[in-house]
Amino acid sequence: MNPAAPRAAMLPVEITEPITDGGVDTDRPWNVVVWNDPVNLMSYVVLVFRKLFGYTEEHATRLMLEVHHEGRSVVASGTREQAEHHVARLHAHGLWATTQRDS
Amino acid sequence: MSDYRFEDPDTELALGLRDAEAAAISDLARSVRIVLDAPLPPAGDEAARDRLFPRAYLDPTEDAAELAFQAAVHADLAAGRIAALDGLVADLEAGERVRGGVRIVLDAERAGRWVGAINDLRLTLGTRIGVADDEPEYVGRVAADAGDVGLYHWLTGLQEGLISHLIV
Repeated sequence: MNPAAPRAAMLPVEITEPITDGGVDTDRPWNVVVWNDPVNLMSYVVLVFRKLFGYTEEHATRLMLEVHHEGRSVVASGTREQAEHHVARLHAHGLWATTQRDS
Repeated sequence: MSDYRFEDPDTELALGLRDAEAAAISDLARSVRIVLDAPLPPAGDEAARDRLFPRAYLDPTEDAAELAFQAAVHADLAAGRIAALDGLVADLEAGERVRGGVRIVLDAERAGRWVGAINDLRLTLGTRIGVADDEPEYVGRVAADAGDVGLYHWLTGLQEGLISHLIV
C-alpha cells in the first residue's frame, strides 16, 4: 500500500450495491485451471500447452512454472462451453484441469 | 491445434527395448486399458481411475454441469486413450526383432501417441505406488526387475527422452 495515499481514501464510504438478477453474473468468464500433480513432467506440460493452445515456448513455460510453484494456473478462459472444451482436451492429455468462474 | 513434429522433418526415431522392457510396457498397457474401459474401476484402482478422469468442476453446486460434462466427453476420452494404448502394444508386437529385444521406428505422430500413452501408464502406476512431489528421481536399469517403482521411473526416462525429440 502506498503510504502517501490521501487520508480521505481510507474513510468508509457508502457503497450502492448493483442490481443483479439473483446473483448470476453472466459477464465473468470461465477460467480453465491446471493443477499441479507429481506425475506429469514439466517438459510434457509445456508440450501439451503448446499443442492445445498454440502458445509460444516462453508463454507455455511460464504457465507450467506457475502450476509447478503456485500449485495452479489459469491457462485459458472463455465461455463455459469453451472452457469445458479445453478441460476435456487437457484431460485427454492426462493433465488435471478444472473450470470455474473468474472471481 | 498443432501436431507434434521433429525439428528435422525427415527424421525418424529408432527405439530399442529389451524383451523384458517391452513385456513390462505391454503388461502395464493391458492393465491400464482395464482401468480405462471397465464400467467400475478394478479394486485398488479407484484413485487411478479418478486421476485418469478427473472432475471438470470442483464446485459441488455444479454437480449437474459435471454430470452433463462427463456424459458428453467420457466415452470419447476413454476410447481415444484405449486406442493409444492399443497402438503402443501393436507397435511393440510389430517391431523388428533384434537380439534380446525389439527395435521400433517412430515418426513424429507415432512418437506423440507414445508420449501420451506412456503418460497414462505413468499416471496409473504413479497413483498405485503413491508418487509424491518430493521423491528423489532415479531410473531403474532394467524395468522388469525393479518392480512398480522402478518401472515408473524407467517410463519417466523413456517419456522424457521421447519428448526431447518432439516440437509443435
